[in-house]
Amino acid sequence: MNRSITLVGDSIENPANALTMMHAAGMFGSACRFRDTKGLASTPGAPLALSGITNLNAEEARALHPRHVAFDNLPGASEVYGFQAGTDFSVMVGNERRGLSHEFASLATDRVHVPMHSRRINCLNVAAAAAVALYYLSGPRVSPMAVRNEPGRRRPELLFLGPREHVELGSAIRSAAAFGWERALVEDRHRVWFDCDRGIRAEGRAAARRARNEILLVPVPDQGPKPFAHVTVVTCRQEGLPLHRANLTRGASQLVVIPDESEAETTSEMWSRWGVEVEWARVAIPATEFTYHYRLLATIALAEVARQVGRRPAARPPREPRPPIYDHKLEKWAEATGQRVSLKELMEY
Amino acid sequence: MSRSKHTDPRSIQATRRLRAPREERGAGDLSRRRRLGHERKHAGVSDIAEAGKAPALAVAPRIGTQPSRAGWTHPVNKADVRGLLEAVGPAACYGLRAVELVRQPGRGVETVLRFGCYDAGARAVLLFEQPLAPWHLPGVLPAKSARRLRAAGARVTRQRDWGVTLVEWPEDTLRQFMLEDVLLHELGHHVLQHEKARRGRVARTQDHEAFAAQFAARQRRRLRDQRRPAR
Repeated sequence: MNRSITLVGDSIENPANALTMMHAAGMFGSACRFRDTKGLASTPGAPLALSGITNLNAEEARALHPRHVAFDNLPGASEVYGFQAGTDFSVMVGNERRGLSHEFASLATDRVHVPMHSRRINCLNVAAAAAVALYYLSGPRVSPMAVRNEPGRRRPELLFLGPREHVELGSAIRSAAAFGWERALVEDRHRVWFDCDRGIRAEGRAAARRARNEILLVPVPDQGPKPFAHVTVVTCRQEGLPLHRANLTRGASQLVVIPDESEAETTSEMWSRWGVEVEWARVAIPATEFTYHYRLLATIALAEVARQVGRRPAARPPREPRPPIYDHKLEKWAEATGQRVSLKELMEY
Repeated sequence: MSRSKHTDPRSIQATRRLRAPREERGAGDLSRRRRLGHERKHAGVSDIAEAGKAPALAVAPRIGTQPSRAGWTHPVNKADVRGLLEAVGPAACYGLRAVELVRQPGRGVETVLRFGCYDAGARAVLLFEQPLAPWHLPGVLPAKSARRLRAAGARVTRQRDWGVTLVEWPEDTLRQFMLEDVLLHELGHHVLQHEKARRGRVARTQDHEAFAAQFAARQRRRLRDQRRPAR
């Protein structure tokens, strides 16, 4: 299918985020443009790839596509799950702290957001959010978020396996908290989270928004955790069920493993040590060659688990008692509608 | 007691609000109005309505009509309703949104005959269509209901042998009944409900009915006194 999609970043201020957004756009075969009010290209130490970006103003953004999807927590926004955006549209994401500017938000023909479960972490990393938007708007057609009475009982355990970058892991942890996980296992073989330098530790915690993020991170013991009944490994390198078709709602008996596949070492993993039944769920990435970012794949996987786990039904406000109606009427038309006649009288008649 | 508009008697408040529903609270010179009131009192005129200056209802409730079915009729028309509302005055009509002349609910198989009702949520009075006179009611009408209809001017013949009741309405007694009994009774419900300024239940049904009956009787007396030629 011929798709024409552009990812538009509005006033992105972190060059690393901008670069990751470009990589996210590359994963889904879309272009990436920026409204550069922060001087991304001229920031000291900015990646070389950002040197060629040109500033996009509102008029140019309007002319790009007939449809513009604002991906932000705006009033009246629809859920990204099941949203049909067509084949020719732009996805606009806003500044890390302030979101979309009024100028760009007013361009939007559609408003879309990804539902959050946490009250303390109510937004994702901007590049991770862009990846989720591109995945659901250009990828598989999925149903809306499930509605269940007790979604918490369907939520599987989560394992971050062998992350290599502390900032990538921090962003993934932030996403997990935002999607409602209260605890996660971390297999930290590259020492990017638990026993690491002070600088790495600070950067990782900042990316995870640890000051507000109350998720409990449990290091995986050397002998491994108790084996789970079901293990689902989320991958983008190996064959497997499409992610949206895998059952990710088996609750505490299921472990969802998100391995870092930036290098090929996961192929030699002893998966049987994690559980009895192991299945693979594949994140469908259209591009064959792309720059791998752990946070992007992890956030897409977490968003899909959150969609399947679902949320509680909206609380119904108590109904007001019906206002009274006072009737004015004849009480009854008839005391008796007939006469009693005995059989003897009838025979005599 | 403060001398503000808020403490005005209900009849004065209602007149003012019907005349200018969007007027601000601070509008108008109260001192001038009070001086005029004093002068009027010294002149022996105690009420605006008695002076023959009762204003027409600037914001009258909507009066709607649903055509009656074959064999049924609306004993009153829009002009009758409007005339009665103006005669009763703003105190009863303030806050009333509509008076609707509608068909009987159901499809004619009910054993009750409805005259009117007041919907507190919609703040509307419904007056139902009635059968064309004379009424041949199946069964014998209870004595209490027969007394009520006779008091309104109907001739009620309860034919026990045949198990039917014949109700005749000579001249315009049915119209008078609908206006001075039914409509005034429903306005009584509205006055009590609106005075409490709530949509929900403000009194027990029994008390509500008692207040409405009392209001209707008082207004009926007042209207008949007004019609009686002065001696």
